[in-house]
Amino acid sequence: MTTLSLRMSLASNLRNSVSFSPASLFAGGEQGVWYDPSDLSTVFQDAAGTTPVTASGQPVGLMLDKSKGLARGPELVPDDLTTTFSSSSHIISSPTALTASSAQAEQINSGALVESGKAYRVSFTLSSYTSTGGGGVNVRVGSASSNDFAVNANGTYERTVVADGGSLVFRPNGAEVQSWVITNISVRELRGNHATQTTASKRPTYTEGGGLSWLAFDGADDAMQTAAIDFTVTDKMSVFTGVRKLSDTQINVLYELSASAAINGGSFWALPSYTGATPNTNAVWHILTRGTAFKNATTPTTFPAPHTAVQTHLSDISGDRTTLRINGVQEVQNTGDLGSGSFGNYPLFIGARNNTSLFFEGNLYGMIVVGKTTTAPETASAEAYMAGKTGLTL
Amino acid sequence: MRLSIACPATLRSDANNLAMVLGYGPADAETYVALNWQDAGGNLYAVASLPVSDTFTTDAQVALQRPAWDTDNIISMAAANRAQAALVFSLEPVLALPDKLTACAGDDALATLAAMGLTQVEVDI
Repeated sequence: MTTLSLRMSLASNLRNSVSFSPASLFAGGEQGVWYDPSDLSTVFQDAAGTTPVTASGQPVGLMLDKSKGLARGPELVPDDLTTTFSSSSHIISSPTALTASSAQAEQINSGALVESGKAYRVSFTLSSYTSTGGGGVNVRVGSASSNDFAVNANGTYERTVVADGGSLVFRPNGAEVQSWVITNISVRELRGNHATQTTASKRPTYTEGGGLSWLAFDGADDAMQTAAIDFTVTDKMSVFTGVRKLSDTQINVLYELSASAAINGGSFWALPSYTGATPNTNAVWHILTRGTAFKNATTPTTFPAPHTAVQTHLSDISGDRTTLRINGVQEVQNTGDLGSGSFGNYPLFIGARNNTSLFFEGNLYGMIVVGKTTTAPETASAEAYMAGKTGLTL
Repeated sequence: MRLSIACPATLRSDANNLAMVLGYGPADAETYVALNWQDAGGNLYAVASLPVSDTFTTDAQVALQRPAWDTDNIISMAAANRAQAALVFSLEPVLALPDKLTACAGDDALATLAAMGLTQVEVDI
């Protein structure tokens, strides 16, 4: 290669890394996830999504998946509200408004409108609100009152909420609420494989420092998980993570597809430490891919904690390839037989096995899982992108 | 402040009721699940670790009230009160005991749990 062509190649790589968006990996409709904790519009303190993360040190109960562009589905609320909402006598439904005119603790319920576990963008306008106290109007997307959020001033509201039941409910919170009118109701699914943690103590901590943002997992009980992701149309998988492991004295799980990739076909895991391989130390990075058979790959090089890395996990079941790259360098590739079949329809667990054991201690700066084999330029661009999120230079 | 809490096997149900009272909803009944830790005597524990407000330890020791969300009486307040009676708070690590719900302050969860005399139970991958 001449000096000129080398310069042109380097310039091209630089342009690619600067202009690259992980969204391009999903342009063909590929299944997967893209988590970016540095995007504060995608992280929330509670699993229902009612309280945004606004500062370092706050828990993360919901992390939205950006792989679908946070695209919204069709409108679920019909033009005529009377065809959906029902209530008792003191709340009147008209085609365009829900009106409560007396201090009655009655609710108006949409009936079956949403699906539990899915995220929705909910908006509405509250007007003619009067109250002798501060109770407000509770809004519930689902069935549990712990999922409520309250509004107590006239205005237009828009929230991201993960449903825990099937209905949308408006309910005055206390007899001091005298009157209210709800109009312009909109409920649209926020498509994606969003990660949640419903148990408060198990939520990782959003953390900022040095111009970076990450989720800190405590190694004791922090974890997140998605609903089942249907990867059954593909036997290829590419995973990119920006990660810092803080401990590798015990085996722990960075991510795992299914409750246990040790037994479930069409699954995978990544471990920031592992025993039983050469070298005989925990201070390695380790992956596994399983079709109907499994193979693993462990770095021949040791990377003792604390260690920060862009970790790339490439899998091809029919092609019998399980490849582990660390910081843009292929550390190991296992070409042993992975059997047959596709990846499965399982939850993705982050930071633990099945939300219950093998808890990861460390930081997660970003994560991309895409159900395809990325091309060499895509791999390089995704690694460069993740390096930027992680504070590394490859 | 971060608290790391060791819950012995026999207190899990009571402690999960207390977690719902002090937490946010029914999902907090899953706070203490797997017995992944043990003390020197082989007693098993589930653990939790979380950042808490400065008033948390005070709030956790006053008379418990059923939270507003629990309109269906999911919580056993009797169980929550038993767990509260077993609570031990410490700003320094103290040894976990098999009949106490031991909560210790410390920025590093794993270091705090180790200082509480706990080690992780080996789990086959």
